[in-house]
Amino acid sequence: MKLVVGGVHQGKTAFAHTLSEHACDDLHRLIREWMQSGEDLQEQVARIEKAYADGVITVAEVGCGLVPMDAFEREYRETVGRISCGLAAQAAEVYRITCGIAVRIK
Amino acid sequence: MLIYVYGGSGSGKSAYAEQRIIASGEKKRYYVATMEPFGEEGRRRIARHRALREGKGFQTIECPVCLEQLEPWERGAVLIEDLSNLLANEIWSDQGRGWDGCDGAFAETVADACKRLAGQHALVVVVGNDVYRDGDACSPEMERYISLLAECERRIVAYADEVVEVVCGIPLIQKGKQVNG
Repeated sequence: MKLVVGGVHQGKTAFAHTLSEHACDDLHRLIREWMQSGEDLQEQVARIEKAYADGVITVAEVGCGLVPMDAFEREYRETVGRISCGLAAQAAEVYRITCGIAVRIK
Repeated sequence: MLIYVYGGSGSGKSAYAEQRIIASGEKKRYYVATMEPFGEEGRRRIARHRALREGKGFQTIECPVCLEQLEPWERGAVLIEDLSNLLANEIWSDQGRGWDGCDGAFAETVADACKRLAGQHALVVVVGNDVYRDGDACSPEMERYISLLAECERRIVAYADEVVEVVCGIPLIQKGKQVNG
């Protein structure tokens, strides 16, 4: 699996699609939905990892601002970060995109 | 040796910082804890960090404010976590110096304290937070906090031998020997 991370609107999706046609875009959005509906996050992430084992996953770095006042938002950004760490550890390649520029960091 | 480690929430910066302390081979490991346990979430957060450090032989030194007033202690490797909490405590906590005390000289006081500790110990790792990439829609007071945090950071970084950004658990060397790219 390949992982593409970066801030929002940095060109992650366009770059990811140059790596593979088989892409899971914006995992952070799915994580938000799973958290809102009380899904088992570990289970859901494992499912995505398996489904895209030969593909690419994109996820936004959402934890680079002031800590939000809202408890759910705090938990959300922390959770996205932890899940991203786990995926990066498993990934064969990790890229970070800033202003459309991809830097391979693993 | 002084290392500054930063990253966003959940980026794996704490785990990386600890790893550097352990990799130093120093037998004496110290954890300078800046966080005050506000509420249930604060307690959970501290418990998570404690669990991470468990069994790694860290001695905890509580220091919510006044890093510069820490008395010297036995040489070893020191992890200071973290800068944004320390600053928030200085400004808003009862024991802190408040806005009036956080003037232009304050950033240098903090950086100087880090430098002094680095002189007394084999290794000092300071953990900071990347809070600068979420737009500019915040109150003037928060703007002032961010600005002062950035000032402290720049001054520490000026003294640091190594600066490492952690992204998804991956260290990116921004200053030091192995600069990327």
